[in-house]
Amino acid sequence: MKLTKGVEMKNKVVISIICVVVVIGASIGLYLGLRNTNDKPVNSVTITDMVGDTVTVKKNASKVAVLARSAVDMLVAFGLGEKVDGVYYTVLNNEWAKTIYPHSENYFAYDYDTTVETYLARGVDLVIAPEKYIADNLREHGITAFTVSQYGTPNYDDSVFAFAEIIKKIWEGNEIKTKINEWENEFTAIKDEIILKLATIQTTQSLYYVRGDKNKGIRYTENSEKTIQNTIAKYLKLNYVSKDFTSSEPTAEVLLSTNPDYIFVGGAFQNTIINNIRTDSIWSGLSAVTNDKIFNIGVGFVMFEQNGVELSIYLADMANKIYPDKFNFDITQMLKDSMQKYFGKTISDNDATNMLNGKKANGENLA
Amino acid sequence: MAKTWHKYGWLYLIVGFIFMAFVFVLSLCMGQYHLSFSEVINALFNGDNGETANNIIWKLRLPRLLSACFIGVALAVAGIIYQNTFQNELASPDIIGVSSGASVGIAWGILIGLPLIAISFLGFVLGVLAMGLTLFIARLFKNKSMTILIISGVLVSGFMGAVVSLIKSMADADTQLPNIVFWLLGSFASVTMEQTIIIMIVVSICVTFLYCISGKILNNIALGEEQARSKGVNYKLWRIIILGFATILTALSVSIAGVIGWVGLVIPHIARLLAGHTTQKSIPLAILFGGSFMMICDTLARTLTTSEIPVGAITGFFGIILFIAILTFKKGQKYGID
Repeated sequence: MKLTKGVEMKNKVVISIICVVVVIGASIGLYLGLRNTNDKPVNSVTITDMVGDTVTVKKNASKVAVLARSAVDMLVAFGLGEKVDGVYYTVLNNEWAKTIYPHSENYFAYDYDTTVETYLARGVDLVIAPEKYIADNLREHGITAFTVSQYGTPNYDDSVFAFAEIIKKIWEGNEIKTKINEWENEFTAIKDEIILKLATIQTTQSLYYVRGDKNKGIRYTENSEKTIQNTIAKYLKLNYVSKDFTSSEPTAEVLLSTNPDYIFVGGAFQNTIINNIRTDSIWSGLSAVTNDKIFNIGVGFVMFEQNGVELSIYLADMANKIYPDKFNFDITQMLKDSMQKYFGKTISDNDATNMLNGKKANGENLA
Repeated sequence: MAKTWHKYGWLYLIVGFIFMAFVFVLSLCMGQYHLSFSEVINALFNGDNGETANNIIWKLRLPRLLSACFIGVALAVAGIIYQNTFQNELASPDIIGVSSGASVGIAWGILIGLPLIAISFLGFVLGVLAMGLTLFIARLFKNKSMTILIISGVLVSGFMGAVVSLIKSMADADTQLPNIVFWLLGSFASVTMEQTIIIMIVVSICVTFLYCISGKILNNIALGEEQARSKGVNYKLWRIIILGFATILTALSVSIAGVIGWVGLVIPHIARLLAGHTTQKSIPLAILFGGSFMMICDTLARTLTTSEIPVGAITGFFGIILFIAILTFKKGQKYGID
């Protein structure tokens, strides 16, 4: 092994040149090999998703992985529940999901970092992702995916029907289209009625929304003007205070100085959080606490404040609670009708009340 | 053990190469989606297995495997370079702030919603800038010792760590934060073939260069400034060049796959255990072991469960076990010096 320095250097250079040539040759081979795998979709439709990406999707996709929580609600409601292969795992933690749609017990529990091969092994032909980076990554690896976001650009005003319209393009069938059109009409009618009746009201009062899908207390919100909460607040002539926060978890002092007039709390932990807000003395000076303006947001197949078919009920419920002298929507009946119409599920008044109060069917807290 | 190199040197290399090839083929056949060996070969060379099999091989397993292999090589070689240059066997590729700088780039890219390729690019740029900042701070002390450079690296790492914490606090808790955390723990899940090709070319060029200078220059730099100069090596110039190449390897690795610890620390130790301190012998072994180790870890990361396991967690698990084994083996020797 003892070589003279000159021979050693020569050997090193020769070995190095061979290695670099092999790697560059392999790179060219890999690039050409990759180009050969670019597939031409058959029987497809091109859609633009909620973040502006243009995606070619197989028409009538039959095995869909739904990571965007709100999207599964619409798919099931519009008659496509059988096409869903699995959902984001937290959807399955909600007891109402299997009560409202028993077939959901067969759904696979996906996570944001489920391996790409798992989708392929399960024969998934479409993934509906909540974030662009997830959809981008899946598309890079040969899986059709698009994004259904909880955020609109520049705001959510024109995004309420975006996913419903995408559904119409991908899945054929008059029944689906009819249901979608009816839901859009319902929402539009309620929204228009609210806007009309509040036309002369000036926006002086404020709304704060608490995300109760995690047990993080009052200081967990949606802090963007792009959210659906901001759009709903605009319809109700309220200033959505969270839109100006730099973080989804504002400090206690920021929240106290904001002093919202109304607090709406959603998610599985809502009742625990509401109880804490009412009993923790630090919040006792908030207007919403003093005036007892802290409200539940319903939970059904998914949380009502997400973009599902219950969104119109959520809007009407908020209008009743904020302007009791102006609105008197029959929320219980609306919810019962909605469950029957979209999920084929007959629910009792007691069930409807529990759903609207963010509770289980037996009246216990959801979490 | 290093003394056996004269006797078994080529044997180590041949066995190492065969092991690496075996790991590569085995990993290519493993995954959540069952593909037989013949289906893998068909997809590789004929492409007549159907769309799914071709996608799995060409868009999933091959890019991941090659990226894991080359990033394993990059981190192992960077580890040898840092340990040699800093004359410190506990030095690793993140010692001069490169990894933490790249982490800032990645976290920032995710926060502002950049596409994947731009996130990687931002990570790479900030990794290199962090190294520049470390050198700048070291110059402020007007002290040429390696210890000052390491202290500057610790300062920059601390600063970058604080920035990452700030970015995490601003990220969406449901979507962006898990993505930042997962990426920073290390993963090859997002690697594409285009990125793989870039990794292969850059790593090959950097490692080839470092191997070519591995005799006189690298070994003499490891002896310190005075001895290096006495042997005719322009210490200052070569130190910057060598650290520059090692930084490119590290920043590229972190920008593509996140922070993957222990590879750059443990693999150089194993290579030195067999080959001794001369870098022209330890670098080829580090290439073979680093590549194999990372391929094994990534294969476990994508096959053990239906969700991705951060590869940094797996390298940490095995890295610690290997490191303890090395320390046990070296018991009785003066640690770090043959």
